[in-house]
Amino acid sequence: MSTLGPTMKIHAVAPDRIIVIMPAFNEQEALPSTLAGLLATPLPLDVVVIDDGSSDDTAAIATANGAVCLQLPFNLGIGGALRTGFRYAVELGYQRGIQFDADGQHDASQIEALLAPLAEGADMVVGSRFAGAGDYRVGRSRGFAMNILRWAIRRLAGQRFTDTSSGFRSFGPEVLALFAAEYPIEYMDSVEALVMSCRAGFDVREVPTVMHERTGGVASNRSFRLAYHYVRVLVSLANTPKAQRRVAETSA
Amino acid sequence: MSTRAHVMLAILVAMAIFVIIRLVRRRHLKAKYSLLWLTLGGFMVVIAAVPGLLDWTAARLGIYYEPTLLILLGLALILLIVMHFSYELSRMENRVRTLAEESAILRHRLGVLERLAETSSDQPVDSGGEPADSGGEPDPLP
Repeated sequence: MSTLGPTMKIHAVAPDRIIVIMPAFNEQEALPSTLAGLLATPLPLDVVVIDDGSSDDTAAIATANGAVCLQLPFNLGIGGALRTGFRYAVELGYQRGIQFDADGQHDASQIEALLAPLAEGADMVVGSRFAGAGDYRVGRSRGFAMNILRWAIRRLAGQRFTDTSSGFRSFGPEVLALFAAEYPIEYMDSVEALVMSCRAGFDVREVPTVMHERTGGVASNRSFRLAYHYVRVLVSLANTPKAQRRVAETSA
Repeated sequence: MSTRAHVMLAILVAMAIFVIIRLVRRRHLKAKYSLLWLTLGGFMVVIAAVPGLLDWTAARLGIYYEPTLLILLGLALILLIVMHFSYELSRMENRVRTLAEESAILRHRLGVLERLAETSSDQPVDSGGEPADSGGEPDPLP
């Protein structure tokens, strides 16, 4: 990748550091407590907040609360914000990364459970709301749509997942590099990303995690748009290329 | 088609081609897009200039109402052009997104460098101030 040039030297990070990638769109209310929760853990976490064109003080609050903030010039949507984070992680040479929601939905105490499989050779780990721990609930129609999606993913990924849309994930260096180069940019990116890395031949695992109901912000689930996105995502999932595992890219 | 219709068509096509060439010459239109439209224009010129051609072709293709052939061909070409635009638009959106992402990262990195320059030198940096090449690694976290 051309961006991995001499600039890497200026910033290079210690190999044990873990980057927490957190997209944020108008999250000034939830950010301080989310960031405080992360920085209170004993883990060597560096938090990067990607301000996705917020109109509030998200950027200033992120910086004031101990995070690095990348400010996008305009709103790219969650997928674009995440890709920015992956790109930054790869440029700085992070070996492990966490995807974490800014809205208080995820619990920092669960990160260790999410990281554990990486040490055992997994390339990507998904924190599931439904695999046992916690008591997170979803509505009936959303649950139905999730079932269809789960079936499609099982066929495409060749593997069973209980929570395909979970945005609580951890990544090893190779998956970070894959996502820095190409990450699905539209809504429900998390589902597409999951299938993408399975089809690229990575070892993707799932662990049960506890999650909270979201504290700030509004969930994006108006039924019309949701239906449209479910159809769109099925079409694009069917077109995900089955590629060979890209080892060469990370060794550059 | 009547002779009058053919003359009208010829005039319209000539005007369209004139406008396209003018736009290209003033660099308001990229040559690669103009090619598409000029092809369409050239096609229309032939039809306008040779009155019997359309009727003859339609008869050979088994189309009994001749203007249908014209509409069919025109529609096919326009669909092709629109598809080409969708393709270009997707490519352009990708590039814009990548630029936005890159700009966010560079903006942050510039901020880090600026802060570093402020703290590492009392005097303002003058021409050719060389960057710290080793040791002085800024912590990405403040």
